[in-house]
Amino acid sequence: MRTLVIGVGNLLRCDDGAGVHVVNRLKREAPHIDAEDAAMGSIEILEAMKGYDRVIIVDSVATGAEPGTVFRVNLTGGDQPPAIGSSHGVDLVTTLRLGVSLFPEEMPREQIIIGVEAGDITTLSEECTPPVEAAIRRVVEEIISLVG
Amino acid sequence: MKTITIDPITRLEGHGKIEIFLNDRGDVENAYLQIPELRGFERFCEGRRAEDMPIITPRICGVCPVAHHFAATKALDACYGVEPTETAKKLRELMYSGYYIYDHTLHFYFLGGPDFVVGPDAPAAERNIFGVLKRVGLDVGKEVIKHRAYGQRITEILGGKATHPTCGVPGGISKGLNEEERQSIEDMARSSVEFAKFTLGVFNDIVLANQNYVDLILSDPFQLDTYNMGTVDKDNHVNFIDGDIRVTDQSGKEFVKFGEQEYLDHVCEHVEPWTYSKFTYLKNVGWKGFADGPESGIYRVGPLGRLNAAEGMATPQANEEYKRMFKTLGGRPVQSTLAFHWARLVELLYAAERTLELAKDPGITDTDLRNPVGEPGEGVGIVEAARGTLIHHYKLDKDGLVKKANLIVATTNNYADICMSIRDAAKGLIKGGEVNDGLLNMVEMSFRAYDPCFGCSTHALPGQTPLRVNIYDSGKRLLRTVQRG
Repeated sequence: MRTLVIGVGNLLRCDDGAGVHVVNRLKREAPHIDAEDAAMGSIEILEAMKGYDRVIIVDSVATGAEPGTVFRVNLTGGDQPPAIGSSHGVDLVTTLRLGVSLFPEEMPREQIIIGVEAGDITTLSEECTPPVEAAIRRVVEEIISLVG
Repeated sequence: MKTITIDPITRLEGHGKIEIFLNDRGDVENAYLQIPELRGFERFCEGRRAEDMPIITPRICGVCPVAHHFAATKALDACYGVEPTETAKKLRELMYSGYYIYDHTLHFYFLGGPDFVVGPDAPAAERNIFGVLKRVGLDVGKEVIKHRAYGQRITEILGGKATHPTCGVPGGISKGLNEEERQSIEDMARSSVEFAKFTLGVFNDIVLANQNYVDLILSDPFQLDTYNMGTVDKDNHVNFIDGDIRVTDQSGKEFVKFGEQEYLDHVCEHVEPWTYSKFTYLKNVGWKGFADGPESGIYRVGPLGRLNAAEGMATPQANEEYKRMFKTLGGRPVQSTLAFHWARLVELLYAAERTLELAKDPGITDTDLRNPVGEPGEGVGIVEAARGTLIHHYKLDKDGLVKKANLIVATTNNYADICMSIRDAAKGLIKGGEVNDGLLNMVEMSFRAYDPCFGCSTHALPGQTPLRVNIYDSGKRLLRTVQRG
């Protein structure tokens, strides 16, 4: 199964960069896994995922849960899509739905969103807070064991 | 006093919170858009190498990277007392036009457009891109994706990754254009001109052909009689990246025109205790609170501000659309907040036409890319971000390290206007404490038109409730919560 991991977020905004940190570590620790830093990427991520069987998108979320909490949503596995907002235009779930509407043949059959609950998203910092740092570690290991 | 809080705002590029204050009769007293704090920007910049600023500032905001990249680059031109080469100026503008193509396209089809194309009274669940595609067809959706990608590819050819441009350097640009790349940009530009015309056609057929929409655009709650600001070329035509800053008054006459290095003589910042963002106003008119009219120094920027502050567009087809817009809406200035959407599409056509002009310019593949720089000092760079005038101001030490950095972003320039627009829309739509979803939609429409982007905000938003309204009594006790999602 061809899998692509996409990290979304702003690396300079502390915990907001969790998704991009995951991708950067995967590139170092598991270079055989296709991983892309989409930064604040919007609908462009559709282009990147065309032709893959599975896409795993890692993003930071702010649901009010304990910082470092990891949420997993399998959009194609019957999970209720969460309403994840986005400041950079178009939210992830909308983007993925749009991809399925417009390019049904080319979109990954399996779509998974991994959300890492952020603690601090307003301090300009390239480092995450300790609980989010620990969550990044867990997510990287989880993806490596899932993808192989 | 009752307080209504809308948090978070849906489909807005950034996380803000709207609070509407009701009086004892349940009518709107005032409305404020709160912008979250960004901590540590000054400290983050201080001591950095000057040439890092065009790389770093796009990443801080993340939403309009090309605008920050070139505001920073132009500030460095000024800091080092160097004028970019002619070829570099053209290449910068070419890349900048590509940015407008993708940014304005996204706003119309995904962010602001749904309100109009699907309809302001349509259920919230339908006022999104899927509702738009239902009206215009799935094939149009593919065209939207394609031309958004074209805009990004144009910026990438010249600047590296669209989200992290790297080409701007003081005195010029680090990378030129070869013939193959030029041809590819020309092809994409041709297609983008047609796409922009098609999009204006959609606006024409769906919005302008519907008298109810035109009446809505011209209705009182959406009028704001402020000054207007934008960058113009020597003919007073709109320019996105180079020129003087022109301000016009409530009758459309020039109030002042100034060079970017003189902005502090004309622009001041006002502070309110309830928000982290400042409010800008015209220094020579003064801050008179949240009021419009000639006595108040509040001005508007962004697509409508630019078109109002100019006397035309520099490309032929966009100029025809410019004239048509003002003729249809009663002459310049047009002060309806909802006219931002139309102005944005006129600019989309201009950006596409200008991209094509520059791609066909015989000098665009020349290799005089950079002039030598002078000694480091102080300087200002101003560009028109898609959302409005963006100012970067740096002071460098003798080693070329940043001593001080100040940014005034587009949303700050429009901040007072946005608050007033929300207040006015709410006044007309919330009476006696009666609030429903449809009314809130109209309030949202009033600020969405500005395409606000909180450069200082996160992209992560609460997961479960895209729209929540909290209503508090005068003792700040929560009376009820209304939400949708």
